[in-house]
Amino acid sequence: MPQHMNPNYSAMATTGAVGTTGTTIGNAGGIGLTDRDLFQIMLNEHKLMTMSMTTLILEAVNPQLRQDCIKILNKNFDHQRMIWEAMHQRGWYQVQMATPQEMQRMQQQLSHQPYSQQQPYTQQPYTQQPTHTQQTFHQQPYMQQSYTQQPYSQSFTQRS
Amino acid sequence: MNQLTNRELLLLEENLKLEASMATFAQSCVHLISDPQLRALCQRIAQDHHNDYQELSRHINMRNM
Repeated sequence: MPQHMNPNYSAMATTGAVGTTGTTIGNAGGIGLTDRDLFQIMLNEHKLMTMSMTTLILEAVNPQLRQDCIKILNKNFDHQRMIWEAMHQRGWYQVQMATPQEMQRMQQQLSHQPYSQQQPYTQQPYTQQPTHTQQTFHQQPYMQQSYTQQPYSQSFTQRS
Repeated sequence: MNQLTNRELLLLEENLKLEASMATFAQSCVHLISDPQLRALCQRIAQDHHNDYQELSRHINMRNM
């Protein structure tokens, strides 16, 4: 079994969130895994599989291969949703809604730099953009901010 | 018949391994999980991934004929 599929390995990654709501199952390694643990592993694996399949689709030259992979990817999305819903219904996957303050902050950020008012690339090269636009981007880079606040690898652990 | 590129072959191999692993894991869960509803879901997932494996592997087998 590859390391990423080792139940012990994946279960360790979610140790902080594993509760006592599931039924403990004894396994060959002597470590009890609950229904919740097993579904958490399955959910994580589906996330990994969708990323891997997306790469294959993006790199595919053969049209039939690409079509088949898109079909499989869509099935993976369906699986992921079913797994997530099963976990969510049982209280195994908690989500945190954005607060009104956070929504307001984002609305203000957007109103300061509405997309429609940005200069198209064709009309104005990046180097010639007004100074205030560059400063705004520099102060609040969208990607950097998102990744800094909640890195992908950590979100697996936190959301479990 | 078009041949596969190096990149396609590498990525196919990776995805075939993932499909096989998931089919095996989900099938194991059918026997490990206590909740009947979850067990049924595992059974379905195992079968789907088994089918996906077969479908993907055809792209390699077709070219060996």
